[in-house]
Amino acid sequence: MVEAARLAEGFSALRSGKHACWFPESRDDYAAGARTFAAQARSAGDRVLIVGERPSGSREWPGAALVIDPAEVDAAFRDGLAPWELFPRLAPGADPDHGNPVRVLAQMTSLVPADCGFDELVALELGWGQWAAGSGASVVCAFQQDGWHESVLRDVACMHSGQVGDRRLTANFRMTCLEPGWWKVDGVVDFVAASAFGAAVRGALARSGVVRLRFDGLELIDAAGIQELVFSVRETHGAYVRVEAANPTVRRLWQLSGFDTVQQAVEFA
Amino acid sequence: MTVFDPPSPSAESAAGLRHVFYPYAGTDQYLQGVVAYTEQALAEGATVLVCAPEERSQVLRATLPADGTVTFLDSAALGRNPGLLIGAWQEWIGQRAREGRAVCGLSESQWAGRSAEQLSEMRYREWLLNLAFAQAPAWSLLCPFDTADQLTVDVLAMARCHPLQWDGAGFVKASDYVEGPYEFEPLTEAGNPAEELDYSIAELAPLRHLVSARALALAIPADKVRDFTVAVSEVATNSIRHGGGRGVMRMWVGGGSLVCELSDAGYISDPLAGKIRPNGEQHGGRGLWFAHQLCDLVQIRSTRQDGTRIRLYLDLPERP
Repeated sequence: MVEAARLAEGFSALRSGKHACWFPESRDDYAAGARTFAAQARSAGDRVLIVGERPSGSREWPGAALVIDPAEVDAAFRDGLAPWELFPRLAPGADPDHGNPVRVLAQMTSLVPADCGFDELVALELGWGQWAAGSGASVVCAFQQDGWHESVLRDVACMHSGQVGDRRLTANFRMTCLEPGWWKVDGVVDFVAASAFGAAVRGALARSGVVRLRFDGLELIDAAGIQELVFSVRETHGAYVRVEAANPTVRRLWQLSGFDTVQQAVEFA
Repeated sequence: MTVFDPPSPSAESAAGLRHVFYPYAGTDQYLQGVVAYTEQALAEGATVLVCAPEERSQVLRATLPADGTVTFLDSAALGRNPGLLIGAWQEWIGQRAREGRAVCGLSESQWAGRSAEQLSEMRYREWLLNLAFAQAPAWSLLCPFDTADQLTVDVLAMARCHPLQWDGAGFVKASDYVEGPYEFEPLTEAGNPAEELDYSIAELAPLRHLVSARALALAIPADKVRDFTVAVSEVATNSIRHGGGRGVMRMWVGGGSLVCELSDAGYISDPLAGKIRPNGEQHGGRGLWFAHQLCDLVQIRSTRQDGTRIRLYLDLPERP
């Protein structure tokens, strides 16, 4: 009951343009949470889009939610289309540009192909984040805990601006899209989170070759994190990253790292 | 007269550092020796770099040529942390080497008012200069050392760090120099730990929180606490990655510092690990370098038998 209440509170606090992750323990937990999600949106007068499977035995969703079959998303994914690019065709009523606010629940367990690599998953999540920030929709990405390795869930949590429900798996840092090509990095990028941070930087650069990273909410970055930043940029041809609002310690580490003298593709403003 | 080009400490190579000890007593002998060294360096076309405490620099400014051939470096860049010595000289001579100029340095440290831990580490850094610049282009560094009021044993300890000695007019091989291995003074007795934590990867964040909270409670400025927390995190990360996956942190206050000691089962075989400024192409090797740069003092003791103990010091604010 406590978990359900915490989840409902998290859904309720989710603001327009935000992108949160949710780690339900089981399929049943997902179904119960999804109903809460839809019911809350209905009560607020928002439109609801569920991208995922209908729970078995359930024909109707409360809140008149529109449901997009994951099979269609999967087919589109293989054609290089992102889920949100299907919305105008498959769910025109959920177009964020018209009408009441839109809330999207994406059941990632059914959306992501089994052979999806972590960098692809990161790219998809950053895409959700950018779409949410740009459209004003709020997006919750659900990852069933029994379908993913714990370390993947921890890392994928970093690609979301927030988290709802069970907090046993929390992100070390968070990437939040401010606008296309401009991301805010909050939290801690230590060696535990460094590889996820590298994936996030590569994902952001894949969307836009020039990226601004706001570091004012970054509490700590260590040597492994700085190295990931630099090497991820080097791996991406023509990439350029401008770091903004870093605290004095982070700026000093950058000067001490030796990267400042040779790395023209990363600049600290 | 002795030619200026000092003999190389290594028979195999003419490159590297000529590290020269200059024990003196009194200002007259100091100036006589330093002026002779400078004149010979300038006669050879070298540029002279001076890093000395401000009161010494004032005397030298009034004595040495003011035609731009002698450069006074910002000794404040070294602060009170001996860990900054090698990196600073790396940077200073690197700039001149890129300009294609021969360099003769003069390095005098402030020895008075230092703790036993600082003095011990300062001597070790003097010795490490020989290793750090063994492959560098040829340059010389004169280290004047005021023997007045010093115990013979302390003068000898400094002499052991220098392969050459300046007799006021020329260079001689230093008979007391110890090429290695370096004999460390034992670490001072640890204080009563106020906090102790066994850590592995799961405790990395709580460890940082514990250290940060303790330092802030001691009214240490937040920016220094943030630096120190990064240093502790880097050393703990090394335990996790290279020291058997775990370690023990003990933290206490003593001698005007917050001391954080991290112990693990690993062994640091390279005495220069973390002492040399990294370049932008290298993978890894920055964590310990960061720790040396971000703390007020770092002491490392590492053996195959006993593992590694690293003490990080953060000075407490002076009482008004």
